[in-house]
Amino acid sequence: MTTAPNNLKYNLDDLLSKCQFSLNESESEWMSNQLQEFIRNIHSIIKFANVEETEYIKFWQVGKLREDEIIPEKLDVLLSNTHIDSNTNFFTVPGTLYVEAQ
Amino acid sequence: MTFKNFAGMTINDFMHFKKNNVNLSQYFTEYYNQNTPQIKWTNALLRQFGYMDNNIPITFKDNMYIAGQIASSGSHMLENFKAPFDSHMYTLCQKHHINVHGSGNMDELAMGSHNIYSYFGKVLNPINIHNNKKFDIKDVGNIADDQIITPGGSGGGPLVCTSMGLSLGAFGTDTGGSLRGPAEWNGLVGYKPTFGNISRYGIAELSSHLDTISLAGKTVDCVKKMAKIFIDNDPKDSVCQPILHTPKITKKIATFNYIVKNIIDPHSYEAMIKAQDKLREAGYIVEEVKINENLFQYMDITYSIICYSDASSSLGTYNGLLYGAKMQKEGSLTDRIYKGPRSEGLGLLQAKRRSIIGKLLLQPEYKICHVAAYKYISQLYKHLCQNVFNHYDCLLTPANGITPRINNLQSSGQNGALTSDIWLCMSNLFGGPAISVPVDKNQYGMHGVQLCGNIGEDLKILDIAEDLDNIFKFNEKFRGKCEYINDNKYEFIVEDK
Repeated sequence: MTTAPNNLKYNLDDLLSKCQFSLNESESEWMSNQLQEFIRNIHSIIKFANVEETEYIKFWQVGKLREDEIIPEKLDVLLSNTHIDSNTNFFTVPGTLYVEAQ
Repeated sequence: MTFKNFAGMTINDFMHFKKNNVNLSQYFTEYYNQNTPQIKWTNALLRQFGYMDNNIPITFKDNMYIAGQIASSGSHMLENFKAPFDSHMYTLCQKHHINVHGSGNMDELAMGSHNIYSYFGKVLNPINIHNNKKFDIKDVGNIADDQIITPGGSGGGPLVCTSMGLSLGAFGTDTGGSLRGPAEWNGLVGYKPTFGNISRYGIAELSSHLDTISLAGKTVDCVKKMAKIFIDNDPKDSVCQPILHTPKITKKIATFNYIVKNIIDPHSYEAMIKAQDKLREAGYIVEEVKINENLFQYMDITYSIICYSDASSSLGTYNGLLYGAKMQKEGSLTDRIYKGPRSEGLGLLQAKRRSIIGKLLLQPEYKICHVAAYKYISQLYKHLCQNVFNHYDCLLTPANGITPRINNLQSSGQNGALTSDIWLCMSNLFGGPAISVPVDKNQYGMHGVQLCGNIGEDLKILDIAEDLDNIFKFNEKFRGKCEYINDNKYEFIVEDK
């Protein structure tokens, strides 16, 4: 287990197992460097966006609402452009992340 | 229809064309003959576009499905994968009698920006041929990587086909500038519509949140006419809900040269200033606006968080059983179906890297990254809407912002440092339309500018881009021509005035 700054961790073997492919030794070393570099970079966006734990929880709670419980005006401006996929129950916002509904 | 030969457009193909004055009809094969009635209709359409009465068709990017045809997406994994159904784009092509004569080479699974990651070989920018004072054509295959002028990517193949006059236009996915980027470097117009305006049914997806079907052609007029055909509702794509506002053009354009100046290639900057001056002469008001500079610093990493997470999910579906890569003969069932084919079939530098980083980002403790990305995009949206689109028709930015060289490959933003390759992915994150228009060329390649608009204001930016295109008339100065002689015979001519 490798520990990255801010306690963000990764385990290459675990990731490889989930990705269902293998790497040789030199590829593993290269990939490890890539992961560490990426983790260093994502701290800048986390810091910039000033994400707090409460917001983190609130964000994912939105995903637990039923469609009829969501009041678009009370959500962010992004959700005013939300398309609701009736097949998957995913809220897909143009160019942004989805929020999974129940 | 042969995909790999024609679509490949690799260095070797170029050498072959140039050395032997190849009659390119051999690359169109029997597909033309099967579609004779369509050719007549295509001619009618071409005349409508103002082109000569020849059979210049459309090229797809190789990740768009045509039932029964190989859609390899530039990947070893999908080398033998035959599309099980038609993409909505192809259905519309048939409906409107547009010939799709092949699919163009691309970076593996649409991952890359220079078209050097295709399993089937690198794609070469035609300008390498025009610059043959520097390179003897017989040595093209031996040019060092850092000397090659790339066509851009990931959709380099279809754009090269169009640039060289083999196609009227090119269609493909644009996830972070994959069509607008190569359009600039091939001297073409590349248009990404508002997210959801064109159906994505029947493509090998990279990122479901960012993928947008885009169009490229030689002139804005041509692209505009194609856009009117392909912006169409499709119940098969749940996010396809076309939004097209009626344009009210105020002739006001926003720029932010103070941010751009120090981070893009000087030639690109020069081209951008030239475009601004010409627009002013044409009666436009081009003004600098203040935008929170920090917004640009985190664009690259935000794009990566979303794109890699999606890519990891998309790549998870590829296995040897369904997608044709050779399965292992030994080991457990999982190893034979998944691990073996995926280890062999996916490229390390892009597919495996994005897959692993994406998988990392999907871990519970990393979901904070997604929240950060969400908040970032929310701020981007607000800033652009409040500061720009409420007062201006569009935002004028560089397109690629760098010269098309492999040694200009940029890694993602380092600790928030501004990089020059963020301009194209901005509109993918934002969801609005964008169009790159070529304005200049020099020995290093073509240079263009990008116009970004508010969501649903596609027609407005197309109208402004048309004005810009009419000012520069870029493709009157430089274009390859494919002249129709008679039954399926083509003569290949390259003009460099």
